[in-house]
Amino acid sequence: MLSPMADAQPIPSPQAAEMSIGSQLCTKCGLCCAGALHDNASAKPHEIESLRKRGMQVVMGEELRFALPCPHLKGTSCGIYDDRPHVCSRYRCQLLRDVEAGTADLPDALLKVREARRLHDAVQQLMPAGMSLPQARSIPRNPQYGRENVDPELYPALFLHVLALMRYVDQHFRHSDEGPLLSEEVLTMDGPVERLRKDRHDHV
Amino acid sequence: MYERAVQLLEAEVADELLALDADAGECFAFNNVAASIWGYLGEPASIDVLRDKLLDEYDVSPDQCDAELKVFLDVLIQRGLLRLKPS
Repeated sequence: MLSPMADAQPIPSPQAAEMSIGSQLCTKCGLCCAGALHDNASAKPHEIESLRKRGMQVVMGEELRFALPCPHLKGTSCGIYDDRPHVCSRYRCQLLRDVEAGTADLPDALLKVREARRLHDAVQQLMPAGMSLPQARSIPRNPQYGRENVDPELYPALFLHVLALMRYVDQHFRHSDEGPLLSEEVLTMDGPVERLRKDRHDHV
Repeated sequence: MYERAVQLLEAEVADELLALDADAGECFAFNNVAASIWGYLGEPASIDVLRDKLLDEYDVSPDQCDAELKVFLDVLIQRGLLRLKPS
């Protein structure tokens, strides 16, 4: 006869459960490392040498930072996870925060990650070789850069898909205190003239 | 009959539709209901046809549907996205 405890599983610690959420969400996403949310990430002074040794571009300004996308992002996973920069172990996007806080559930968050990845992939397919995601994200604010660096036939589609990605990232991934990537004042192909028109008719 | 006045480049974003009028350089965000209407307008359609499709798809009273549909179509016309096709 089987023991009543034969099927019992160890109860994970709260820390293990949190890691599990982060692990499940982040390894299917990688958008923060890809530069979909930020142009760069903060670094500690003692990390400069190791960042450079690992081929990461250090940006010396008022604050020490390294450029994104991270060259160690492999698909949606970190290639240097055990030795990743301090900020990478600390950073939590809004979606992860919400899941960890219990204000969003994991299956729903995974759907949002899947949608964001789809939008990201659409942008990647339209980006010319050598253009980074932060550079593509700059196009709505700097259309001239886009026109000079993107095939004219692809430019409108890239512009639109960059807007789509930024809008979705603003809605679900960036913290409210970081401010939006997408100001509603900068949504024309020709510069900051028109506002995004919200044709909202929620109750038709 | 209503018909589209412009060709828009479209990108679906979750339950929204983001659309770009590349010639005018303007971008529009449609919520799911607005996106449905814009989708119906892939072919010229009368307001009666549009209303019937909305009533099939959404749980809304005919009176409310009529009123809000008309407002939305007028907005699309004002913004140059839609025009009345002579019958």
